[in-house]
Amino acid sequence: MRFIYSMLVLFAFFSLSFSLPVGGENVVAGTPVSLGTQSPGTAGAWGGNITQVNLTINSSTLHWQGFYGSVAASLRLASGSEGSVSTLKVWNVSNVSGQIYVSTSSNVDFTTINSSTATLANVDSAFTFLSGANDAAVNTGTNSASPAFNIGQYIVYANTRPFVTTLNSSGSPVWRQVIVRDANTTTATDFVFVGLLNSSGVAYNGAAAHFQVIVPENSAGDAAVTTYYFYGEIQ
Amino acid sequence: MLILSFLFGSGFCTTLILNSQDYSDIISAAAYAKYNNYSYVFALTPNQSVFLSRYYTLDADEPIVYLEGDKPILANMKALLQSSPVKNLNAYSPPNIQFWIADQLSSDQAILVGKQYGQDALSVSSYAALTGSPIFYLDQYGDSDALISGIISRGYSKVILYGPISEQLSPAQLNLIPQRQIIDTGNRYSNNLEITRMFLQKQPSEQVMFVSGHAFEKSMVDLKFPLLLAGRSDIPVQLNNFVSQNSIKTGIVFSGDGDIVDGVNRLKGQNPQMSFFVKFGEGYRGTTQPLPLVIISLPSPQISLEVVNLTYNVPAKLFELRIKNTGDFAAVSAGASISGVGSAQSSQIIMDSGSTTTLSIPLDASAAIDSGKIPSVDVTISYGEDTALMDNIDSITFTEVQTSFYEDTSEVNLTGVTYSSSEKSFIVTFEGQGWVSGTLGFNINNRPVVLRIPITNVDGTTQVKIKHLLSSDEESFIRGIAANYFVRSGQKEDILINEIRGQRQIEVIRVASSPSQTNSILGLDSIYIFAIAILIIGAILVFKFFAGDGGDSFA
Repeated sequence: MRFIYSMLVLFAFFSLSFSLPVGGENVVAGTPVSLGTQSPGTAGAWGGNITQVNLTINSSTLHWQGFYGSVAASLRLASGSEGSVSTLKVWNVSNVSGQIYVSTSSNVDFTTINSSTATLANVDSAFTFLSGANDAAVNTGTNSASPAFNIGQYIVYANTRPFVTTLNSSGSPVWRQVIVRDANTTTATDFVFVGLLNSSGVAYNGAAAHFQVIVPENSAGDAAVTTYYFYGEIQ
Repeated sequence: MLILSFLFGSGFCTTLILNSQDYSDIISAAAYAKYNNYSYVFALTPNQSVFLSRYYTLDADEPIVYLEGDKPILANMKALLQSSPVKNLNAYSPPNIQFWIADQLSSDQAILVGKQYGQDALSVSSYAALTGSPIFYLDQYGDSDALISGIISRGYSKVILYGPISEQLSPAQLNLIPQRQIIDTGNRYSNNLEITRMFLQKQPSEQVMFVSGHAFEKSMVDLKFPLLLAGRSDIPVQLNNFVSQNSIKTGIVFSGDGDIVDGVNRLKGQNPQMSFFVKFGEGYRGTTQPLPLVIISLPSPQISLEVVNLTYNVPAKLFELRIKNTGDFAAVSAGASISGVGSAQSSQIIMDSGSTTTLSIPLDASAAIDSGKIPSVDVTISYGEDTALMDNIDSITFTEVQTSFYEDTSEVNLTGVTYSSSEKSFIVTFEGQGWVSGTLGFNINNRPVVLRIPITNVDGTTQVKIKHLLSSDEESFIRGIAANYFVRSGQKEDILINEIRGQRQIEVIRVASSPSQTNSILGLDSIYIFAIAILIIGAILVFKFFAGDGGDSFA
């Protein structure tokens, strides 16, 4: 794919007589935006002249999947019917705090989640399709840059874990997430992507949300599918 | 088996797709998948089945094992999968999934549960997955002979009989089952703790999953974390102790399994050092928001009581609350409170489905009687599907409560408890005239045993046979045991007034199945003669005691 993009750029530099497809907006990794829906840009050309075109090529990532949502809606534990509903927890929007945990592990071990630090390179090794890619984990976040927070009874100290931000609809990197792991078996199920909740957040598409996280997912071709599991902490 | 071995070696993660409406298939397949480290999915609706058929076949190289029960969710799911690009598809439609799974496993141990008790199947599922043991389901309306025959033919060296299934098996069937290990403590919570202890012995963990037993989600079955049953509004005392003793630090609950809302909160309140997490959704490629967990309901008893009336018995100084059980088996107790007079609580009784009885609540409310009636009485009824945890509570205020002058003249005494090996039953003997019901609890070899005594008319010497399974080890242990019992008795079937409760020695002896046995009563074993003598003397002393000063009774 990079080869194709490079060729396109070169072609643009030396082309004299026809319009070029110019991408519109920067694409947030993980958001399912298709370039095919955007209007092509144009550049005028006159014979005998060479016109430089600054070309931006954007691509949908095939290696990350984005999720967003509302905690108050998602964490409601309810039973019963016909107006008789028992509820475990409904957080008022103004009181939303804590984290959302996303993992390919069907049962995260929260008792060991603080025992082993991870690096972005570890993520690339475990999710092999990330290794060497432009959108590899090492190009997505920053090691040892996490804020301090608690997971259950454990304190995750500041600047000890990989930290990733994603954008809201204004393009601001307001969504914060930290990568931890509950084991060190070098497999994908070790990793837990922790989204820090935001009580007044706006997701990439302008929707109100309490969390937004991106997780590795290989969407290239007929790659095997992955199921992610979502957890919240009852506080 | 060969095909599955091939899949193991392929280097891909195998996905087991189940297409069945039967909850027992769903749980058994979950345990089987977990044991083999397969990914596991099942659907609840045809649309979900179509989604699974397409989603999990995107990778042509991914191995798929497809299992179809005799009542599938989507009839043509197999055809859908076969038309997909998947190259490693192995589809099976066995006549009986539990037997098919048993044949894939090489365990020398099996687990037998009652099919009508969904919480029991769930309770054993993680242990079954951890040990690779197949789960068999004894259907109360099915062919139990065929099931027992199928189990025996597979040559297991040990079979765990879990939960209250003894009523469904004949002594002859039981005798065919080799090396029985019985986990039937009288309530589902302590049964669950027993199997959890076995799990933790093999796989220590400081994290557990709390479930209601009324719902199932596929990740409730796990090789690392056992699951514990929690009550709807409360938790059993033994569960709280278990959590402390085993240093459990973290609990997982499941969105959609909301029956344990208050129970978990109570547990959290009593164990502030614990952290609780809720698993609330799944995320799939192409969806930007998590989807709800796939939860199925498990068969469980329906609890429904109908209050008929409340009267006050003046000479007996007690309230008589007449209630009808319109649901399944239920444990019930009630309390009455009058402002300025006081409050009191009845003992706990067991009610079979459809039965009507009267709970007696001893309270001297003479001072509250006005013109032959009591103006207002607050009654609290506690009930549940289990004697260990009556976590449903209803409060009713009765006004203008009528008074009565019925006087109980019955006299019923408990005179003996024996165990018959041949009938796999305890035989409880009463003497006197009247009616009796209640429970009788004691320990055998550190295993609690609770006998439910149905409402019985006692006329002279009356024996009540209560079916109960004991292992051979337990049978040899049942002498000289301490008892914790209460028995309610009265003159009429629907008015059980006298109560005997407390802790007294109960001598349980074994009735010989064969005169030739050395430990047979008929063989005149000196120990048994001595035991019988002690029993008779003890019974006389005990019942003279109750007849004399009432002991702990409310009579």
